[in-house]
Formats: sequence, structure tokens, C-alpha cells
Amino acid sequence: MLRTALQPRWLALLALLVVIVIAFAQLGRWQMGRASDASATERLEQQASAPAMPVDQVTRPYAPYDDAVSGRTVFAQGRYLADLQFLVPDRVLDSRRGWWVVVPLRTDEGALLPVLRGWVSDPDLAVAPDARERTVTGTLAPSESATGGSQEGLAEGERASVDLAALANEWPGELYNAFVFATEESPPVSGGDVRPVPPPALVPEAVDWRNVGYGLQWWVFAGFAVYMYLRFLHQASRPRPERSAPRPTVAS
Amino acid sequence: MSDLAKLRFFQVMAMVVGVALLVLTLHMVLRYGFDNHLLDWWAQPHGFLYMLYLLAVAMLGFELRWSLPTMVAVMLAGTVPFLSFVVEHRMTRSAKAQLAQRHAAPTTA
Repeated sequence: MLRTALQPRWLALLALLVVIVIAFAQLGRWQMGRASDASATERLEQQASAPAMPVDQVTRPYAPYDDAVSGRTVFAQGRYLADLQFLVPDRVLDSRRGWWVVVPLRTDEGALLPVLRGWVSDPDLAVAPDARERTVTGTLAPSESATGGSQEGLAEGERASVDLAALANEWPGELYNAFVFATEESPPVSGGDVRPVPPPALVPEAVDWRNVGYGLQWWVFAGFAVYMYLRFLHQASRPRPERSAPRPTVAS
Repeated sequence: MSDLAKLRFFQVMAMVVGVALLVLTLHMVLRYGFDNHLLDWWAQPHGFLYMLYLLAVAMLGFELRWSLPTMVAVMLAGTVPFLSFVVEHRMTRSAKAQLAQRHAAPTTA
């Protein structure tokens, strides 16, 4: 069997087999990685439990968004620019459909930090905040994606999503590349009924068994390729048996 | 498993995978064409059925001593919509001829 295996044809086949097995194993690993990213979970938990810090110690205006920023609790001092407040429709809180209320905070350093103040069940409840100096505490989150084309059908003062790229074009001044799910405003904004929105779940979803299934399938295919190679090699390395010998058949 | 049973297994799996693949194609069209996720669950069982198909091809192929290229081609045919039906038809015809010859051969049994 070894002598056959060392023939150029079989060596080429072996090389092909190695490539296939590596490719399949990687595909399997990738699927498993999608199923559960243990290191990401750990990091996110660490970030969520880190103490609140000034926003400038975590990220800077225009800084590229870094996963290390997600879920960090930050605070910033400044004044709300009520003129730039907007609503995002079709947001659900406690299974009720409503609006998100987003307004930029001009920090004392002069940059704009978009703040998700909370959720309202009716646009009229989203009163413009006063411009007093206040400290806003909350959780950082990345920009939402632009929702192409769905801007139509929006009422005045509404946006389809918290798309920071679009805001950077329209708002004056430097913009942070993250927005804050506000948990505390001090002093609180009087009037209106804006309920805080819990930040997006920080822990990735539990293990997705579908991805585990795909992962296992790739590994089975890889094992199958090895089996095929060995079986063919085995077959090639021994002379063809004569068919004249009686073959046992179960068929009666 | 007798050689005839292996042929039968191959025929059944080729048919099953052929139909399963059409369902998967429908799923792709729905999902990427219409953003309809109705058949999302199908990919998983299809993968499992395809594994059984590979097993069936290997069992019949080694029994009838197919060449490696033939074996691989038949296996890959299971991933092309409609082609699996054609290939199943052809391979079954040649396998039947081969088996008929084998069973007709004089034996000392």
C-alpha cells in the first residue's frame, strides 16, 4: 500500500486530500465560531462590568468604532441641542411599538455625542429637553446601519435609524462614532414621559445549534474524504480479484 | 448489504437528495430573492440527507469498482439541481447491466 501511495499520481491525490481536509476543517471551525464566540462573550462581560468612565477616555470623536467600546458605561457633561432631536419610529419596548428619542449632547469639549434618551409611546411625549448643563450616563453602542430607501413614509423629525454616518454629514461639529443608551440624566429633564431603553443585549446569543450542526457536517465531510482516499488507495494497491469466485449474495 | 440492496439504497438516496435539493433551491430563491425565511430550517436536514447520499454512492461505487473520478462526479452531481436525476438514471442502468452479468456468471455454488 505504501509503494502505491508514493507514486506521483497518488502523492498528487494526497496533496489534494490535505487541501480538502484543511478547507473543510476550517469551514467547520468557522461555523463553530459562529455558534459561540467564547472570547467575545468574556470580553463583553468584562466591558459591561467596568466602572463608568468619561467618554473621552473610551473613544474620541471620529475614532473608528472598536468592539472594545461596546457596552462600556460612560458619562459626559454638556448641554442637549434640542433643535437636533429626532425620533426613530417602529421601536419596541415591553412589546409596545413606539419611538426612540435621540438628541445630541454638546460636551464641554465641544463635540457631539448622540444620546438615546429613551422611548415614548407617542411623539407628543418627547418634549424637547432644556439646555441646562447636565451629566449624562449610559452605555455605548455602535451606529445602526443605514436603512436604504426606507426614509420615505417618515414624519417630519423622524429618521429610520440611528445612522451616525448620516448624522456626521448633517450635524455641525465633531461627532463621536458611537451613541449612548442613556441610563441617567443629572439633573433630569423635566416634562414629557421618556422611558429609558435598556442597552442591546451584550452577551451574544446562546449557542446556535444550527451552526454547530453545520460545523459537524463539515468535519464529517473531511473525515469522509480521508476514508475515500484510503479506500481507493487500498483498492489500487492490490490486484483486482478474479470475479470467478462465488460471491456471497444475500438476495435469495 | 447485498450488491442489489446497495443499488437500491443508491437509487432511493439519489431520488431523495434530488428532491431535497430542489426544495433547497426554492429556499435560496425565497430567502435571497424575496427575503422570505419560510424554509430556513431546511438547510440542516438537507445536509444530513446529502451525507447519506455520499454514503450510498460510496457503498455502491466500491462494490462496482467505480474509478475515483466517476465516484467524485456522481457525488458532486448530488449538488446540481436536476442533474442528480439524470446521473441516477445512467448509473443505475450501467450498474444493472454490471450486476446482471455478475449474477449470470457461472458459479460453483
